[in-house]
Amino acid sequence: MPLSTQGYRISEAKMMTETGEITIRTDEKYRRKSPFVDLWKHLKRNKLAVTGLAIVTVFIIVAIFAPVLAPYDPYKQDLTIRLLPPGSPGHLLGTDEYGRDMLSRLIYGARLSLLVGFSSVGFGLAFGVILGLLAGYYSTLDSIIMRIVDILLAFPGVLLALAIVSALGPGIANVIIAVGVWSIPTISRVVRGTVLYIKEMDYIAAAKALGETDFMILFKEILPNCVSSIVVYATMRLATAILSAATLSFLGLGAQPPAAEWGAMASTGRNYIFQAPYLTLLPGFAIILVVFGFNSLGDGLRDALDPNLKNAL
Amino acid sequence: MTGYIVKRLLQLIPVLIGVSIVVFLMIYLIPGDAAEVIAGPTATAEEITNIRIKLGLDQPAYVQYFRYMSGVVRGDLGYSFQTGQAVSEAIATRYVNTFGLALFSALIAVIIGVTAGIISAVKQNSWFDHICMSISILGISAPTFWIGLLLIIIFCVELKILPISGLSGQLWTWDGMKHMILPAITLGFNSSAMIARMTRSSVLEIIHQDYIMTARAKGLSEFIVIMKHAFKNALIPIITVIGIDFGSLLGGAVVVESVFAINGIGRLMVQSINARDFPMVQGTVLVVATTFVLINLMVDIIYAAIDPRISYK
Repeated sequence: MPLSTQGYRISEAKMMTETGEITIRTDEKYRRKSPFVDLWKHLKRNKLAVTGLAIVTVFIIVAIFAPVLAPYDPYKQDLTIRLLPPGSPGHLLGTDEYGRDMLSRLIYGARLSLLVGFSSVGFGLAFGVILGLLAGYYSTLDSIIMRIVDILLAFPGVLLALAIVSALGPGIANVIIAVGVWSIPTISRVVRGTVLYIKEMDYIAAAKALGETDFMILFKEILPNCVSSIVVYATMRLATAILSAATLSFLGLGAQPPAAEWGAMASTGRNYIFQAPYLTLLPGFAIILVVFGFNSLGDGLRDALDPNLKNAL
Repeated sequence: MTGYIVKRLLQLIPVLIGVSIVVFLMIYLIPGDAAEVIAGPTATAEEITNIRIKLGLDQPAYVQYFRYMSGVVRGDLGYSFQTGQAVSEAIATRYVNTFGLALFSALIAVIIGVTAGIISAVKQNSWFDHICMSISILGISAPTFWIGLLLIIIFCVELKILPISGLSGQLWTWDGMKHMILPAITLGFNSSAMIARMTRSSVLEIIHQDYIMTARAKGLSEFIVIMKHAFKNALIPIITVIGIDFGSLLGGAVVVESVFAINGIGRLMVQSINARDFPMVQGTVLVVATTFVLINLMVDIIYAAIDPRISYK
């Protein structure tokens, strides 16, 4: 295939006209490409983002194939081999106070952490995006929704999630709801900001002039253009959600023993901090790695998809 | 300026009312019969009825809310189910510890963050810069409880130079300070990481400007150039981060107090959640959220006073 002077491939098509056969040559540079190709082109230039993507991918694979990858059953107790240090034969990362294999528990922990992360952010997105769309589009609803958002933002850190879990009771499902609700106000703020900007654009006025309904405008015209900021924010929020869920479990309000959950593992490891500090340190490393992965990927996506967001997020 | 303060104070009222409604509604989130859940599985019918009357659950919701609020404005937050102690009294004795911890950690975060940020910017791409920025990434990705446990392992278990936990006596004594150092560093770690990154980037932005070159050309010492000319102008974004973070330290205090067994509101909250002591949970959440809102208001007013570019309108 011929190449243009700039190195782009040129595709050719022959066409018969009244004056004879002509050849239409299209420089690939001007061809419409898939948004993923563009995104990847931007993303791969950013080393930190690629590292983040690699870490996240590894964790997702580990979570999916946990039963295949884990050398032992994460819940199988063997009191004859309790508290083996990392590097022991047969137990690469040692064993815990009940003789359970730490590596297997950490691998299964990835499942729980990612499950909580994705579900709670999904929960937050389901409500946050709709509230943000409505607040941004209808000025009458804006002040009401934003006042509610202000109220929910008046609870610092994990306090709102903590308050919700205190009422619903401890457990993974309740942590997902609590962290999800806690994500709603910030997600709706981000979406609202984007909608406020988009709704002033000419093509929205054109859609209105064509007689499209508000529903169509919101979901067909505006929402697809909010996707990049939603994806960026959701990726960063995944890091926060995983951190908060681990914190709630550490406080005894999330996953309950014997669950192989990183926060809960660090919490029980605390009782053996003198004899076996690795019981606390290893789950922490796993949390740091996955949170770092999502944060770096989120940063990279922000720079690639929407550089204007840099100051907003 | 006075008008701005009055306006901000008036805006605070609906937020505070909203916060009180959310805190009040927490009890309605309890799945099933709240009185039965709170009383526990072994409670008799009589005990359940007593709790129902005590909580006012036999009344319509709006009556209960007004009864609760009329108590709150008089400083009466109800009585603990567990100990019978007045909630306001229990909070008052612990408030100093929590607020002191937040203040102390903010101070540490500012000192460490600003110093590290300035040196990193001046010595851009040096080994110091790389180490500082790597630690700051760790600070942003690591869970607070894990940082606390890591510091305990290093300073208490291995080096044995600081007490492991528990603030028994007065906060503002030498002994109190010694007990407070690790918790304060733990709580401030995340903030100092943010402050260091922000200081570095805003100083870097300034030191490449022409007037800095002029200052150097005048023969001023490097210290004067950086501290008087560059840092002073880089201050506003740094103060913004410090302001945003100070309030959220209160949320983090919940975790840090639990790790280091500090007798503060956060630990009281977690203990009350585990004991299903609802009046205590509601009281602590209300007090922490209100303090957070008031601190944010103060920070906003301070900005307006320092930076003439911020509009009062």
